[in-house]
Amino acid sequence: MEILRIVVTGTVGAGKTSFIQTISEIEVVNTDRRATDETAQLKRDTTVAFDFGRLTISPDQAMHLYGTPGQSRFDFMGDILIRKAHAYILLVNAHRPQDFRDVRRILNFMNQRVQIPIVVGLTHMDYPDAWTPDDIILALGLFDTTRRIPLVQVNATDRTSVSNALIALIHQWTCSGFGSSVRLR
Amino acid sequence: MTLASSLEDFSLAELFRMIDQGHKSGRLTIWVSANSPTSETQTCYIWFRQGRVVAASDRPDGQGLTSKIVEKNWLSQRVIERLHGLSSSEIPLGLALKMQGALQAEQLNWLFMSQMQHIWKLLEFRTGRFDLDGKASLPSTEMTGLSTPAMEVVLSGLRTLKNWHALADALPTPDSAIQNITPGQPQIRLNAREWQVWEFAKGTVSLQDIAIQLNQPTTTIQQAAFRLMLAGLVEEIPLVVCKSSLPSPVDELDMLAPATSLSDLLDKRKSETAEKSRVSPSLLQNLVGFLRSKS
Repeated sequence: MEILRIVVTGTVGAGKTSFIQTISEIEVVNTDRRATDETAQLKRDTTVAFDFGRLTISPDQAMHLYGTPGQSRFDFMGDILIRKAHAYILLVNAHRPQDFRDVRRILNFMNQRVQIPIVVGLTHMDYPDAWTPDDIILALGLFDTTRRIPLVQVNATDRTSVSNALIALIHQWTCSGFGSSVRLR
Repeated sequence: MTLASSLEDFSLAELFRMIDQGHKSGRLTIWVSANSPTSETQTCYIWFRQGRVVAASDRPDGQGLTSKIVEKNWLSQRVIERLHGLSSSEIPLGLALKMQGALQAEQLNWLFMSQMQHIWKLLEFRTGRFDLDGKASLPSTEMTGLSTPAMEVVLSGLRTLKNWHALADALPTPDSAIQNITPGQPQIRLNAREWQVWEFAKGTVSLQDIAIQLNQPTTTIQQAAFRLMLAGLVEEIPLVVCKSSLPSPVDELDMLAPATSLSDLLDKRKSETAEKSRVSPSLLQNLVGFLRSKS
Protein backbone atom coordinates (compact mmCIF):
# COMPACT_ATOMS: atom_id res chain seq x y z
CA MET A 1 0.00 0.00 0.00
CA GLU A 2 1.36 3.38 -1.01
CA ILE A 3 0.45 5.99 1.57
CA LEU A 4 0.62 9.76 1.34
CA ARG A 5 0.84 11.26 4.81
CA ILE A 6 -0.46 14.79 5.27
CA VAL A 7 -0.21 16.62 8.60
CA VAL A 8 -2.87 19.22 9.38
CA THR A 9 -1.55 21.64 11.96
CA GLY A 10 -2.47 25.01 13.43
CA THR A 11 -3.59 26.70 16.61
CA VAL A 12 -6.53 25.70 18.81
CA GLY A 13 -9.82 26.34 17.04
CA ALA A 14 -8.31 26.86 13.60
CA GLY A 15 -10.34 23.96 12.17
CA LYS A 16 -7.91 21.03 12.07
CA THR A 17 -10.35 18.41 13.32
CA SER A 18 -13.15 19.72 11.08
CA PHE A 19 -10.81 19.70 8.09
CA ILE A 20 -10.02 16.02 8.57
CA GLN A 21 -13.61 15.07 9.40
CA THR A 22 -14.82 16.76 6.23
CA ILE A 23 -12.61 14.82 3.84
CA SER A 24 -12.06 11.50 5.61
CA GLU A 25 -13.91 8.44 4.34
CA ILE A 26 -13.74 6.80 7.76
CA GLU A 27 -15.00 8.11 11.01
CA VAL A 28 -12.11 10.12 12.28
CA VAL A 29 -10.05 8.40 14.92
CA ASN A 30 -10.45 11.17 17.37
CA THR A 31 -8.68 11.28 20.68
CA ASP A 32 -10.32 14.49 21.82
CA ARG A 33 -10.54 14.91 25.56
CA ARG A 34 -12.25 17.60 27.54
CA ALA A 35 -9.89 20.52 27.93
CA THR A 36 -9.41 21.61 31.49
CA ASP A 37 -7.46 24.83 31.16
CA GLU A 38 -8.08 28.19 29.53
CA THR A 39 -8.28 26.43 26.18
CA ALA A 40 -11.68 25.15 27.27
CA GLN A 41 -13.04 28.67 27.06
CA LEU A 42 -12.21 28.76 23.38
CA LYS A 43 -13.08 25.24 22.37
CA ARG A 44 -15.09 22.75 24.40
CA ASP A 45 -13.04 19.78 23.21
CA THR A 46 -9.51 20.14 22.06
CA THR A 47 -7.15 17.59 20.60
CA VAL A 48 -4.75 16.32 23.23
CA ALA A 49 -3.35 13.49 21.11
CA PHE A 50 -4.12 13.68 17.41
CA ASP A 51 -6.83 13.08 14.84
CA PHE A 52 -6.56 10.55 12.09
CA GLY A 53 -8.49 10.34 8.82
CA ARG A 54 -8.12 8.35 5.64
CA LEU A 55 -9.01 8.60 1.99
CA THR A 56 -8.59 5.57 -0.24
CA ILE A 57 -7.60 6.59 -3.73
CA SER A 58 -7.21 3.16 -5.29
CA PRO A 59 -6.82 -0.41 -4.04
CA ASP A 60 -3.15 0.22 -3.37
CA GLN A 61 -3.03 3.97 -2.77
CA ALA A 62 -4.32 6.06 0.13
CA MET A 63 -3.95 9.41 1.79
CA HIS A 64 -3.69 9.61 5.57
CA LEU A 65 -4.40 12.82 7.42
CA TYR A 66 -3.04 13.58 10.86
CA GLY A 67 -4.23 16.50 12.95
CA THR A 68 -1.61 17.72 15.39
CA PRO A 69 -2.40 18.21 19.06
CA GLY A 70 -4.07 21.49 19.76
CA GLN A 71 -2.48 22.18 23.12
CA SER A 72 0.99 20.64 23.22
CA ARG A 73 2.17 21.26 19.71
CA PHE A 74 5.84 20.96 20.41
CA ASP A 75 6.01 17.67 22.27
CA PHE A 76 7.41 14.42 20.95
CA MET A 77 4.05 13.44 19.45
CA GLY A 78 4.00 16.45 17.17
CA ASP A 79 7.65 15.87 16.37
CA ILE A 80 6.96 12.31 15.25
CA LEU A 81 3.98 13.35 13.17
CA ILE A 82 5.97 15.99 11.34
CA ARG A 83 8.97 13.79 10.65
CA LYS A 84 6.74 11.15 9.12
CA ALA A 85 4.79 13.59 6.96
CA HIS A 86 5.17 14.08 3.23
CA ALA A 87 3.51 17.50 3.33
CA TYR A 88 1.47 19.64 5.66
CA ILE A 89 -1.27 22.21 5.82
CA LEU A 90 -1.06 24.96 8.41
CA LEU A 91 -4.49 26.31 9.31
CA VAL A 92 -4.67 29.90 10.54
CA ASN A 93 -7.74 31.43 12.10
CA ALA A 94 -7.82 34.77 10.29
CA HIS A 95 -9.81 36.63 12.91
CA ARG A 96 -7.62 35.71 15.88
CA PRO A 97 -4.49 37.87 15.62
CA GLN A 98 -3.57 36.74 19.14
CA ASP A 99 -2.78 33.34 17.59
CA PHE A 100 -0.47 34.63 14.88
CA ARG A 101 2.68 34.48 16.98
CA ASP A 102 1.87 30.85 17.88
CA VAL A 103 1.38 30.11 14.18
CA ARG A 104 4.76 31.64 13.54
CA ARG A 105 6.27 29.35 16.18
CA ILE A 106 4.65 26.32 14.56
CA LEU A 107 6.06 27.34 11.18
CA ASN A 108 9.54 27.72 12.63
CA PHE A 109 9.22 24.41 14.43
CA MET A 110 8.26 22.72 11.17
CA ASN A 111 10.88 24.45 9.07
CA GLN A 112 13.64 23.42 11.41
CA ARG A 113 12.67 19.75 11.20
CA VAL A 114 11.49 19.12 7.69
CA GLN A 115 11.67 20.65 4.25
CA ILE A 116 8.43 19.40 2.79
CA PRO A 117 5.63 21.07 0.80
CA ILE A 118 3.31 23.32 2.78
CA VAL A 119 0.33 25.55 2.20
CA VAL A 120 -1.20 27.94 4.71
CA GLY A 121 -4.99 27.62 4.91
CA LEU A 122 -6.81 30.72 6.14
CA THR A 123 -9.99 29.85 7.99
CA HIS A 124 -12.78 32.06 9.38
CA MET A 125 -12.19 34.59 6.61
CA ASP A 126 -15.92 35.38 6.61
CA TYR A 127 -15.66 37.05 10.02
CA PRO A 128 -15.93 40.85 9.84
CA ASP A 129 -12.75 41.35 11.84
CA ALA A 130 -10.70 38.82 9.87
CA TRP A 131 -7.33 40.15 8.75
CA THR A 132 -6.57 40.28 5.04
CA PRO A 133 -4.25 37.64 3.53
CA ASP A 134 -1.62 40.34 2.88
CA ASP A 135 -1.60 41.40 6.53
CA ILE A 136 -1.49 37.79 7.73
CA ILE A 137 1.51 37.18 5.47
CA LEU A 138 3.24 40.08 7.20
CA ALA A 139 2.22 38.97 10.67
CA LEU A 140 3.58 35.49 10.03
CA GLY A 141 6.85 36.80 8.63
CA LEU A 142 6.23 35.32 5.19
CA PHE A 143 6.73 38.54 3.23
CA ASP A 144 10.26 37.56 2.26
CA THR A 145 10.30 35.80 -1.10
CA THR A 146 12.59 33.14 0.34
CA ARG A 147 9.93 32.28 2.92
CA ARG A 148 6.87 32.81 0.74
CA ILE A 149 4.31 30.04 1.20
CA PRO A 150 1.10 29.65 -0.82
CA LEU A 151 -2.03 30.82 0.99
CA VAL A 152 -5.48 29.39 0.34
CA GLN A 153 -8.79 30.28 1.94
CA VAL A 154 -10.41 27.25 3.54
CA ASN A 155 -13.82 26.48 4.91
CA ALA A 156 -12.91 23.45 7.00
CA THR A 157 -16.49 22.16 6.99
CA ASP A 158 -16.93 22.33 3.22
CA ARG A 159 -15.76 19.32 1.22
CA THR A 160 -15.01 21.28 -1.96
CA SER A 161 -13.02 23.85 -0.04
CA VAL A 162 -10.99 21.18 1.78
CA SER A 163 -10.41 19.33 -1.50
CA ASN A 164 -9.18 22.54 -3.11
CA ALA A 165 -6.75 23.10 -0.24
CA LEU A 166 -5.35 19.60 -0.68
CA ILE A 167 -5.09 20.12 -4.46
CA ALA A 168 -3.20 23.35 -3.78
CA LEU A 169 -0.83 21.42 -1.54
CA ILE A 170 -0.15 18.86 -4.25
CA HIS A 171 0.29 21.66 -6.76
CA GLN A 172 2.83 23.22 -4.39
CA TRP A 173 4.51 19.84 -4.18
CA THR A 174 4.97 19.50 -7.92
CA CYS A 175 5.98 23.16 -8.33
CA SER A 176 8.51 23.12 -5.54
CA GLY A 177 10.45 20.28 -7.14
CA PHE A 178 10.03 17.72 -4.42
CA GLY A 179 10.26 15.27 -7.23
CA SER A 180 8.45 12.31 -8.49
CA SER A 181 9.61 10.08 -5.71
CA VAL A 182 9.68 11.35 -2.16
CA ARG A 183 11.51 9.38 0.45
CA LEU A 184 10.43 9.52 4.05
CA ARG A 185 12.89 10.62 6.64
CA MET B 1 -8.06 49.34 3.94
CA THR B 2 -7.82 49.30 7.72
CA LEU B 3 -6.05 46.96 10.06
CA ALA B 4 -7.53 46.83 13.53
CA SER B 5 -7.11 44.82 16.69
CA SER B 6 -6.71 45.14 20.42
CA LEU B 7 -3.32 45.63 22.00
CA GLU B 8 -3.93 42.55 24.15
CA ASP B 9 -4.15 40.45 21.00
CA PHE B 10 -1.40 42.06 18.95
CA SER B 11 1.25 44.23 20.49
CA LEU B 12 2.28 47.62 19.21
CA ALA B 13 5.85 46.35 18.80
CA GLU B 14 4.69 43.55 16.49
CA LEU B 15 2.48 45.98 14.60
CA PHE B 16 5.45 48.29 13.99
CA ARG B 17 7.40 45.33 12.60
CA MET B 18 4.51 44.65 10.19
CA ILE B 19 4.35 48.28 9.13
CA ASP B 20 8.09 48.40 8.54
CA GLN B 21 8.36 45.12 6.68
CA GLY B 22 5.18 45.78 4.70
CA HIS B 23 6.31 49.33 3.81
CA LYS B 24 2.90 50.51 4.92
CA SER B 25 1.64 54.08 4.78
CA GLY B 26 -1.24 55.78 6.53
CA ARG B 27 -2.41 56.87 9.96
CA LEU B 28 -2.33 54.63 13.00
CA THR B 29 -4.84 55.60 15.66
CA ILE B 30 -4.31 54.12 19.10
CA TRP B 31 -6.72 54.32 21.98
CA VAL B 32 -5.10 53.39 25.28
CA SER B 33 -6.05 53.52 28.89
CA ALA B 34 -4.04 52.83 32.00
CA ASN B 35 -4.57 49.33 33.31
CA SER B 36 -7.64 50.24 35.30
CA PRO B 37 -11.23 50.35 34.06
CA THR B 38 -11.85 53.80 35.47
CA SER B 39 -8.93 55.50 33.79
CA GLU B 40 -9.52 57.87 30.92
CA THR B 41 -8.83 56.78 27.37
CA GLN B 42 -6.09 58.60 25.50
CA THR B 43 -6.01 58.81 21.72
CA CYS B 44 -2.73 58.95 19.85
CA TYR B 45 -1.97 59.29 16.16
CA ILE B 46 1.11 58.07 14.31
CA TRP B 47 1.68 58.58 10.60
CA PHE B 48 3.77 56.36 8.35
CA ARG B 49 5.10 56.63 4.84
CA GLN B 50 6.48 53.48 3.22
CA GLY B 51 7.17 51.86 6.58
CA ARG B 52 8.80 54.96 8.11
CA VAL B 53 7.42 57.01 10.97
CA VAL B 54 6.94 60.60 9.82
CA ALA B 55 4.95 62.09 12.71
CA ALA B 56 3.18 61.38 15.99
CA SER B 57 0.73 63.46 17.97
CA ASP B 58 -1.95 63.23 20.62
CA ARG B 59 -4.03 65.96 19.02
CA PRO B 60 -6.67 65.39 16.35
CA ASP B 61 -6.54 68.98 15.08
CA GLY B 62 -3.08 68.81 13.50
CA GLN B 63 -1.69 71.42 15.90
CA GLY B 64 0.59 69.15 17.93
CA LEU B 65 3.84 70.25 16.32
CA THR B 66 2.89 73.94 16.38
CA SER B 67 2.03 73.75 20.07
CA LYS B 68 5.43 72.20 20.85
CA ILE B 69 7.27 74.95 18.99
CA VAL B 70 5.23 77.58 20.81
CA GLU B 71 5.81 75.87 24.17
CA LYS B 72 9.55 76.05 23.58
CA ASN B 73 9.19 79.77 22.79
CA TRP B 74 10.95 79.27 19.49
CA LEU B 75 8.21 80.91 17.39
CA SER B 76 4.72 82.26 17.94
CA GLN B 77 1.69 80.57 16.45
CA ARG B 78 1.07 83.60 14.20
CA VAL B 79 4.60 83.46 12.78
CA ILE B 80 4.41 79.72 12.26
CA GLU B 81 1.15 80.04 10.32
CA ARG B 82 2.48 82.90 8.23
CA LEU B 83 5.74 81.14 7.35
CA HIS B 84 4.02 77.84 6.59
CA GLY B 85 1.58 79.72 4.38
CA LEU B 86 4.49 80.85 2.22
CA SER B 87 5.30 77.23 1.37
CA SER B 88 3.35 74.59 -0.46
CA SER B 89 0.83 72.99 1.87
CA GLU B 90 2.36 69.59 1.11
CA ILE B 91 5.75 70.53 2.56
CA PRO B 92 6.14 69.38 6.16
CA LEU B 93 5.81 72.26 8.59
CA GLY B 94 9.19 71.61 10.21
CA LEU B 95 10.97 71.54 6.88
CA ALA B 96 9.16 74.68 5.73
CA LEU B 97 10.25 76.56 8.85
CA LYS B 98 13.83 75.37 8.39
CA MET B 99 13.83 76.49 4.75
CA GLN B 100 12.68 79.94 5.93
CA GLY B 101 15.54 79.99 8.44
CA ALA B 102 13.11 80.08 11.36
CA LEU B 103 14.24 76.78 12.87
CA GLN B 104 17.60 75.01 12.97
CA ALA B 105 18.29 71.35 12.23
CA GLU B 106 18.91 70.66 15.94
CA GLN B 107 15.49 72.06 16.81
CA LEU B 108 13.83 69.83 14.22
CA ASN B 109 15.71 66.86 15.66
CA TRP B 110 14.45 67.75 19.13
CA LEU B 111 10.87 68.04 17.89
CA PHE B 112 11.04 64.73 16.06
CA MET B 113 12.62 63.01 19.06
CA SER B 114 9.83 64.38 21.21
CA GLN B 115 7.34 62.68 18.89
CA MET B 116 9.29 59.40 19.11
CA GLN B 117 9.26 59.58 22.90
CA HIS B 118 5.49 59.85 22.68
CA ILE B 119 5.48 56.55 20.77
CA TRP B 120 7.84 54.86 23.23
CA LYS B 121 5.45 55.61 26.10
CA LEU B 122 2.72 53.75 24.21
CA LEU B 123 4.73 50.52 24.33
CA GLU B 124 3.90 50.21 28.03
CA PHE B 125 0.14 50.05 27.51
CA ARG B 126 -1.36 46.60 27.61
CA THR B 127 -4.97 47.68 27.22
CA GLY B 128 -6.25 49.46 24.17
CA ARG B 129 -7.07 49.25 20.51
CA PHE B 130 -5.46 50.31 17.27
CA ASP B 131 -6.63 51.03 13.76
CA LEU B 132 -4.34 51.58 10.81
CA ASP B 133 -6.02 53.54 8.03
CA GLY B 134 -3.95 52.97 4.91
CA LYS B 135 -5.82 55.64 2.96
CA ALA B 136 -5.40 58.51 5.42
CA SER B 137 -3.38 61.42 4.08
CA LEU B 138 -0.25 62.66 5.81
CA PRO B 139 -0.65 65.85 7.86
CA SER B 140 2.03 68.33 6.81
CA THR B 141 1.35 70.44 9.94
CA GLU B 142 2.44 67.57 12.22
CA MET B 143 5.51 66.63 10.21
CA THR B 144 9.04 67.83 10.86
CA GLY B 145 10.31 66.52 7.53
CA LEU B 146 12.32 63.87 9.35
CA SER B 147 11.46 60.20 9.32
CA THR B 148 12.86 56.92 10.61
CA PRO B 149 12.02 53.26 9.96
CA ALA B 150 9.24 51.97 12.20
CA MET B 151 11.48 49.08 13.21
CA GLU B 152 14.20 51.41 14.50
CA VAL B 153 11.65 53.41 16.47
CA VAL B 154 10.34 50.36 18.26
CA LEU B 155 13.81 48.87 18.85
CA SER B 156 15.01 52.11 20.43
CA GLY B 157 11.91 52.20 22.60
CA LEU B 158 12.30 48.61 23.76
CA ARG B 159 15.96 49.10 24.68
CA THR B 160 14.92 51.63 27.31
CA LEU B 161 11.56 50.13 28.24
CA LYS B 162 11.26 49.61 31.99
CA ASN B 163 7.86 47.95 32.20
CA TRP B 164 7.56 44.92 29.89
CA HIS B 165 4.20 43.85 31.29
CA ALA B 166 2.37 44.71 28.05
CA LEU B 167 4.70 42.49 26.04
CA ALA B 168 4.82 39.51 28.38
CA ASP B 169 2.83 37.28 25.98
CA ALA B 170 4.81 38.35 22.94
CA LEU B 171 8.21 37.36 24.33
CA PRO B 172 9.77 34.09 23.17
CA THR B 173 9.28 31.40 25.78
CA PRO B 174 12.24 30.49 28.04
CA ASP B 175 12.35 26.92 26.69
CA SER B 176 12.55 28.09 23.07
CA ALA B 177 15.74 28.65 21.11
CA ILE B 178 16.41 31.31 18.49
CA GLN B 179 17.65 30.70 14.96
CA ASN B 180 19.57 33.17 12.81
CA ILE B 181 17.64 33.77 9.57
CA THR B 182 19.91 36.26 7.85
CA PRO B 183 23.15 35.53 6.02
CA GLY B 184 26.31 36.93 7.59
CA GLN B 185 26.53 39.51 10.34
CA PRO B 186 23.58 41.75 11.28
CA GLN B 187 23.54 44.99 9.30
CA ILE B 188 21.74 46.98 11.96
CA ARG B 189 23.28 48.38 15.11
CA LEU B 190 22.89 46.05 18.07
CA ASN B 191 23.70 46.71 21.69
CA ALA B 192 26.10 44.52 23.65
CA ARG B 193 23.38 42.28 25.14
CA GLU B 194 21.77 41.72 21.74
CA TRP B 195 25.14 40.73 20.27
CA GLN B 196 25.68 38.25 23.08
CA VAL B 197 22.31 36.64 22.52
CA TRP B 198 22.68 36.69 18.74
CA GLU B 199 25.82 34.57 19.10
CA PHE B 200 23.57 31.77 20.39
CA ALA B 201 21.11 32.00 17.49
CA LYS B 202 21.70 28.49 16.19
CA GLY B 203 18.35 26.98 17.08
CA THR B 204 19.73 24.59 19.66
CA VAL B 205 20.15 26.37 23.00
CA SER B 206 17.11 27.43 24.99
CA LEU B 207 16.82 31.00 26.18
CA GLN B 208 16.92 29.87 29.79
CA ASP B 209 20.21 28.07 29.11
CA ILE B 210 21.58 31.16 27.38
CA ALA B 211 20.63 33.11 30.49
CA ILE B 212 22.59 30.69 32.65
CA GLN B 213 25.63 30.87 30.40
CA LEU B 214 25.54 34.66 30.31
CA ASN B 215 24.72 34.87 34.01
CA GLN B 216 21.68 37.04 33.32
CA PRO B 217 18.02 36.85 34.31
CA THR B 218 16.01 34.83 31.79
CA THR B 219 13.67 37.77 31.18
CA THR B 220 16.62 39.92 30.12
CA ILE B 221 17.56 37.29 27.53
CA GLN B 222 13.94 36.93 26.39
CA GLN B 223 13.72 40.68 25.88
CA ALA B 224 16.95 40.80 23.88
CA ALA B 225 15.79 37.83 21.79
CA PHE B 226 12.46 39.56 21.17
CA ARG B 227 14.27 42.64 19.85
CA LEU B 228 16.32 40.44 17.54
CA MET B 229 13.08 38.86 16.34
CA LEU B 230 11.53 42.25 15.67
CA ALA B 231 14.63 43.29 13.76
CA GLY B 232 14.12 40.30 11.47
CA LEU B 233 17.43 38.73 12.49
CA VAL B 234 16.19 35.61 14.23
CA GLU B 235 13.10 33.46 14.62
CA GLU B 236 11.92 31.70 17.74
CA ILE B 237 12.34 27.93 17.47
CA PRO B 238 10.32 25.86 19.95
CA LEU B 239 12.34 22.96 21.29
CA VAL B 240 10.67 19.61 21.75
CA VAL B 241 9.86 19.25 25.43
CA CYS B 242 10.67 15.55 25.66
CA LYS B 243 11.82 12.66 23.55
CA SER B 244 10.29 9.23 23.43
CA SER B 245 11.44 5.89 22.16
CA LEU B 246 7.88 4.59 22.14
CA PRO B 247 6.60 3.13 18.88
CA SER B 248 5.41 5.86 16.57
CA PRO B 249 1.63 6.34 16.74
CA VAL B 250 1.75 7.13 13.04
CA ASP B 251 3.04 3.64 12.34
CA GLU B 252 0.29 2.16 14.45
CA LEU B 253 -2.45 4.03 12.62
CA ASP B 254 -0.96 3.38 9.21
CA MET B 255 -1.24 -0.29 10.00
CA LEU B 256 -4.70 -0.06 11.47
CA ALA B 257 -6.19 1.84 8.59
CA PRO B 258 -6.17 -0.81 5.85
CA ALA B 259 -5.79 -3.92 8.04
CA THR B 260 -8.60 -6.33 8.65
CA SER B 261 -7.00 -8.85 11.01
CA LEU B 262 -4.11 -9.34 13.40
CA SER B 263 -2.13 -11.24 10.78
CA ASP B 264 -2.60 -8.33 8.41
CA LEU B 265 -1.20 -6.04 11.09
CA LEU B 266 1.88 -8.18 11.64
CA ASP B 267 2.52 -8.59 7.93
CA LYS B 268 2.08 -4.89 7.53
CA ARG B 269 4.61 -4.13 10.26
CA LYS B 270 7.19 -6.33 8.55
CA SER B 271 6.64 -4.83 5.15
CA GLU B 272 6.73 -1.30 6.54
CA THR B 273 10.06 -1.99 8.17
CA ALA B 274 11.49 -3.53 5.05
CA GLU B 275 10.24 -0.91 2.66
CA LYS B 276 10.53 2.83 3.13
CA SER B 277 7.41 4.66 2.07
CA ARG B 278 7.59 6.50 -1.21
CA VAL B 279 5.09 8.67 -3.04
CA SER B 280 4.86 8.15 -6.75
CA PRO B 281 3.66 10.67 -9.33
CA SER B 282 0.71 8.41 -10.03
CA LEU B 283 -0.49 8.71 -6.42
CA LEU B 284 -0.46 12.49 -6.64
CA GLN B 285 -2.19 12.48 -10.02
CA ASN B 286 -4.77 9.98 -8.85
CA LEU B 287 -5.40 11.96 -5.68
CA VAL B 288 -5.98 15.20 -7.55
CA GLY B 289 -8.36 13.42 -9.93
CA PHE B 290 -10.10 11.79 -6.99
CA LEU B 291 -10.53 15.04 -5.08
CA ARG B 292 -11.86 16.84 -8.16
CA SER B 293 -14.35 14.09 -8.87
CA LYS B 294 -15.64 13.95 -5.30
CA SER B 295 -15.84 17.65 -4.58
